[in-house]
Amino acid sequence: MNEIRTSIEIAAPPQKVWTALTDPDQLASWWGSDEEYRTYDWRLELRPGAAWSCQARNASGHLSGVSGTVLEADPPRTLAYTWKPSWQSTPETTVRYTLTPTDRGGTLVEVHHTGFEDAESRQEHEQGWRRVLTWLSQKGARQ
Amino acid sequence: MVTSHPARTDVFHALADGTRRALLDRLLGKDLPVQDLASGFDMSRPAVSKHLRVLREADLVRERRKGRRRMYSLNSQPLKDVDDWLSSYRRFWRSNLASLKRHVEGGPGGVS
Repeated sequence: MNEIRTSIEIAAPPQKVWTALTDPDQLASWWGSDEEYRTYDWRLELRPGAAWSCQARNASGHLSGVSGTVLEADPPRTLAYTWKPSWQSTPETTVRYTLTPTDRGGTLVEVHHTGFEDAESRQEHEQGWRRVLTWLSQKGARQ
Repeated sequence: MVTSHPARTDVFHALADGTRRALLDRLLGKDLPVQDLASGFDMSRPAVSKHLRVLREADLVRERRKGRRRMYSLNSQPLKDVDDWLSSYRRFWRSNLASLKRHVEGGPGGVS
């Protein structure tokens, strides 16, 4: 529960998906929607250690942004960066994309978002979250 | 991009410690006076009190006076908040990947 995994299959080769995931112009065109928010000013250099950032403006004009550090860039397979939203005072988390070619010539895109915890307590945490779920369900049951 | 739930570093921090989780475990079924709650730990009372303070500050436990006793109870709302926060990220990534797919495949809502 302290991590998020999701995936989607895309009918295009990994290189094309990689470009969409890493090219600032393309990112601005698909990341977000007019109804929710648009992103702009993407800065992403595919070099481990490089800072990245993007800005976002929601439908009512509210501005926010996400920034972080590139951890891994292995085109067209793996991209990982840290994730620090401007609107949350939570610890930095990590987002990792894995692109795998499929038999049908498409790409399986997996997102693994981790680190919703204090970095120091990572090891203890998995156990911690299992308990959280137990507390939650038991507390709910007796209320 | 993701709804701004009151995602709380202090809750994560509070839950990261074994003693604090044990304290929360004890409060699961019932409210307890502080003496009962804090007894039986292999550490000094001030050390246990320190852990209780962290839990109070994260609003995971609440203290109230009952006569001369201080009673502790578990408050699950911060846990729900954290759960909501992660759920909002789950929705965010699903919708974002769908958007990426539309863009790359050139369907409706793709390249603008």
